[in-house]
Amino acid sequence: MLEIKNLHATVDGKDILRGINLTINPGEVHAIMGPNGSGKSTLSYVLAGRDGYEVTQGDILFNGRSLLGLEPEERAREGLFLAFQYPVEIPGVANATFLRSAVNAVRKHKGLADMDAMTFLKTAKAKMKQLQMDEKFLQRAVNMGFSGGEKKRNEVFQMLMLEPTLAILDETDSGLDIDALKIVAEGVNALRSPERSALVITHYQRLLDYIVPDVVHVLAGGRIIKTGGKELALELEAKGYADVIAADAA
Amino acid sequence: MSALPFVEQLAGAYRAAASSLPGAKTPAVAARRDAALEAFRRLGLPNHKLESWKFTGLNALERQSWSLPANDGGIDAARLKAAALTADSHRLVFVNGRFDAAASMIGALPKGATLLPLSQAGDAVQDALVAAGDDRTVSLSELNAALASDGVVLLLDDGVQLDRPVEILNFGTPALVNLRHLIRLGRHAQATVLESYRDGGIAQPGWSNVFARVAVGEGARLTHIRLQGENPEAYHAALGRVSIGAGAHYAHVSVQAGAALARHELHVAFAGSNATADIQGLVLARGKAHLDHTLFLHHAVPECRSNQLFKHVVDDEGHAVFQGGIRVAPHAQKTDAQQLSRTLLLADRAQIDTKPELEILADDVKCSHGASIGDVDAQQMFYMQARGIPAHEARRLLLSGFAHEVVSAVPEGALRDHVEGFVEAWLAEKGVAA
Amino acid sequence: MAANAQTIETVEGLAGDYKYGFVTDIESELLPKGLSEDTVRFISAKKEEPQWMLDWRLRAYKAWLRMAKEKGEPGWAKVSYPEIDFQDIHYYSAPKKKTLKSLDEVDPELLATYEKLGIPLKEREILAGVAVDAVFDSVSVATTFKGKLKDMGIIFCSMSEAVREHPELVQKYLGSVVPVTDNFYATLNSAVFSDGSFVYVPPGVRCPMELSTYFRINEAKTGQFERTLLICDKGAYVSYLEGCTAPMRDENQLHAAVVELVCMEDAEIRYATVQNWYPGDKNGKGGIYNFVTKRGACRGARSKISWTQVETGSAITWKYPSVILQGDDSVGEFYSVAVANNAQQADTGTKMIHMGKNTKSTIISKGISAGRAQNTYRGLVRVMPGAAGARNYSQCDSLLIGDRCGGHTVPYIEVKNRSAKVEHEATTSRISDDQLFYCRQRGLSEEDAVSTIVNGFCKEVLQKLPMEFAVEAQKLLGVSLEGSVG
Repeated sequence: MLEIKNLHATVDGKDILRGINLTINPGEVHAIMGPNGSGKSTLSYVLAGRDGYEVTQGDILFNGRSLLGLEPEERAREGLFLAFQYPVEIPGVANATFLRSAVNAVRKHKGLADMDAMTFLKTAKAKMKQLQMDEKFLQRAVNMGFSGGEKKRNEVFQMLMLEPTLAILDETDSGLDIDALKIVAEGVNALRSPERSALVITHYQRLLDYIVPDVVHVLAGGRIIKTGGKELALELEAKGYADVIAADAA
Repeated sequence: MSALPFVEQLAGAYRAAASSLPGAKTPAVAARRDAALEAFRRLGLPNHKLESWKFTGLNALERQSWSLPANDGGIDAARLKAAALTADSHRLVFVNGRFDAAASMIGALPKGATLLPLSQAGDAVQDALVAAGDDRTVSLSELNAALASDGVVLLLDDGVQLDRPVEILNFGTPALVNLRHLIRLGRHAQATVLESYRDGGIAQPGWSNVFARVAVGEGARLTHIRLQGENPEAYHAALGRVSIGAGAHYAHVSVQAGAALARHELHVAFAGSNATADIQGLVLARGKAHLDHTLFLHHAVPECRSNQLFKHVVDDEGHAVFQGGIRVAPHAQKTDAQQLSRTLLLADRAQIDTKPELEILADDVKCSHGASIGDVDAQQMFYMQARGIPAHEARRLLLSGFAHEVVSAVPEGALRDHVEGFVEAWLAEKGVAA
Repeated sequence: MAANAQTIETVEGLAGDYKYGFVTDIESELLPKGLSEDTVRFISAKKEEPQWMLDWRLRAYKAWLRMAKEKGEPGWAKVSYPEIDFQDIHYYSAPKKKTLKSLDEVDPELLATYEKLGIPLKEREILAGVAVDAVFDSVSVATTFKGKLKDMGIIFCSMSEAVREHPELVQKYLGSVVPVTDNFYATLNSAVFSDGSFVYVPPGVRCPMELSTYFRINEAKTGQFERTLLICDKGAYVSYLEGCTAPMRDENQLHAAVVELVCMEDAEIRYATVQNWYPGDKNGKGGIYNFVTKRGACRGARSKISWTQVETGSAITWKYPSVILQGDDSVGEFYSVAVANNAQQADTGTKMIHMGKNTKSTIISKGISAGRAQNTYRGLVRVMPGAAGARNYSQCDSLLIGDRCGGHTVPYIEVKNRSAKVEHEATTSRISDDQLFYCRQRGLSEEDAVSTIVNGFCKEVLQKLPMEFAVEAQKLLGVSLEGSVG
């Protein structure tokens, strides 16, 4: 599914990623944990193809094809979804309008006909129910005036509608209370299947109680310094990052 | 009434006074003054044809006869005292446009600080008389350059901080008075300046024509308060040019509370990045007062922040004018410029003309302006009356609250108390219309 | 930022692509260039006008001569262009065949032109419920639905016809909202106006369909001087649509139209415009000069006038659809989207003059600038001493795409009544990289992302347009800024 090979990236001329290697197989959920400034969000932006995040070395293969030459929308249409840490507000554009454009852009890419308004509405309402979101959010402008938690829920809602093959969740747990966290996790889990994978970026182990990962990586200084099973997350929660980082340095 | 045309009266006044004006013995200064008078003659008074004078006209000036006042104005000591700051200050008193040494008190100054009346400023006179520009809008400041009889020169070297405010107090019998100030703060210098324009309170035509050039050096901080309240037949026209260096802060509070016509035009330009300007104004107009604030904020460089808040209370047949221009130059990215104008019209014949203007030539900016005009909020009035507060008292309280937002921009302590007293006195003077 | 630079490039790229740039080859009856008293007499004679109309025109011409001599063209707007040579313009042109009894007689080529523009001239109008008074160059050549409207007492015809058939109405109202000497261009229009639409809706009648007129400028160097007069009598209602696209031309073409609306007691007029004339190429060569005077008078109590405009075309737009709120409780509205791309200049806004008691006005203006364009909102809200209880709310937002364009806001607010309540807000923003990236991450192309964000920015205005116009306008916004990215 996703193969990251010796990935180096810079932002504003500063080296942030310094040789990341990571392979995610279909059906797997990987978690990336790490202290602030370790490069977690940079990795998610580099994967999604944001301007200003320059890959200086290495490659990213998505279903065997390099992503590096692709525009963000091309990556999205290929099935890569990024749930933003800070979802962006777009005044005046209704959530429904926005999402329907996105759904149809992805469908067109797959050679499918546009989803008609009725089907779209029916599907959207079903997914919103699943996430316990008020249907009124469909008519509100994208993320405008949403609380932190509502924005995160809206990200997961969009993910459910777009049905990506690889979902990258960038600190989707931040700003959520425990009930919301469970609902969001259930949403993500609902998408789990042998064909789909996820990369969960988080600061805390908490989210991983609900989205149980197959593999956990520790990112520090722009490199993956340790990889393990889900128990690694618990160990980090108990001991903090310092020990792992010290062990790596030694 | 003099038979001489207006401009010729002024030219005559200049010829009569020229030899006694500051710097008269320096040929370059005399030449500059001659040239300034010629410039004024050529340009004439600004009029409605100039966009920036659309709402304010000075024609009435041409119907009076003008000459420069005699040196001894004979001032009312009690009134002067009442107009002065109670706290310690470096006080420079000007009576009828001349420095009054007896009434003034310049305390000990730190090394690197110069604080003098223009009439004693020697070489600095030439510097102070430099033209503000060369278009028609500067005609009054050219007249001022010709006739300037005194003013304040405040120069602070790098890092010098004044521990007391500089108080510029203008007082006298109404007359044609031209004061010219030069304020220059070096890097990281700090000062507070209070300018007060008052008179004996007798209703009688006078004309204060003031020019101030202010330069705030890199990282310096200047707090600049201006109180203007003259008699109901007086004219007051002031032009200020302020430049703000990188990382510097300029705070300006301007209170206008009287005169037949008063205009305070202020041009603020950012000369270096990361500088900030907070500019607030409070206008208190009653009778037939026509009070005008005209502001131009030039965001010429990136990453500066400006904030303007202007409040107007207009009673009787008062007429307030607020023009607030913000210009963001190409490449002045990350500019943050906000402006808000609020007006309360208290009487049937009160009026306001507002023109907030945005000229934006860079895209990554945060710029906005807002203007609101209305009467005192009826619900608030009712609420207070329902609690037993009489209508006139409720109104006064609401007005005081309205004004307070601007007053509170003045640094706490004696200075704020002074400004507050000035504002409250206006509010109390005549129970504002209910 | 790379995205930004790209965005700018794409916006610029668009100029090459003016979709309606074709020229119809119809032999015009062309008056030689130049303006004199004879020109005015010629136009009037050509139209077989009565003496009073000719006198009116001549009065205007003399006033214009004085204005040209004393002050010349108005200079206060934030637009710049080379001085116009008013002697280098044709003041009259008309398609040769003029007396048509049915659509079959219309030049097929002209019909084909309308076809390309999507103007529903045949049966489609009935389906669309639109009556079209199509103005080709200067003379109306086809008017439909007249019969049906006539039965209801509604007059919808060309201005020339109105002068002949309804002189009492024309004499009473023409120039009553925009006086002959109102401004330089309006005065010029009064002297040489070629044709336009006339509408009268009698008391109590609700016009059952959207009336619409499509304007085109075709003949090279033909000044267009449309004159529209719309009267809505007591308790009546009419919604009028006006849309324009013009063929591509290299030289600048002047358009100085006048539109007057008269709204009586309890009447309501909605006037919507989509303006997409040739904006010139990306270097600012060519394009229409659009100097228009549009004004409505709310004469009666509780009357209402609503202007909605989507301005995407023209090299220069100088236009301030205004409302004079004379009747008590009358309402004025102005909803505007103005797009300026490449070298376009737009200086547009409104005037709301509150005279009657409890009059209300709303101004929503959305300005979008891209390329090297300059876009200015200029508006006046004036509350006269007698306008007790007047209310105004204004919201003026500018959106900038790229760092070489300008977005300006110049509101004048003059209040002479204490019981008035006036609120004005203005903001300036840009399409942020964050927004673009977010949309693209969801699969939208950069162009669609820009179009989506711009349509969101303009939403409050677009939703004021009649349905079929709203769709057209949305497309137009997309086209005008197409490729502004990527």
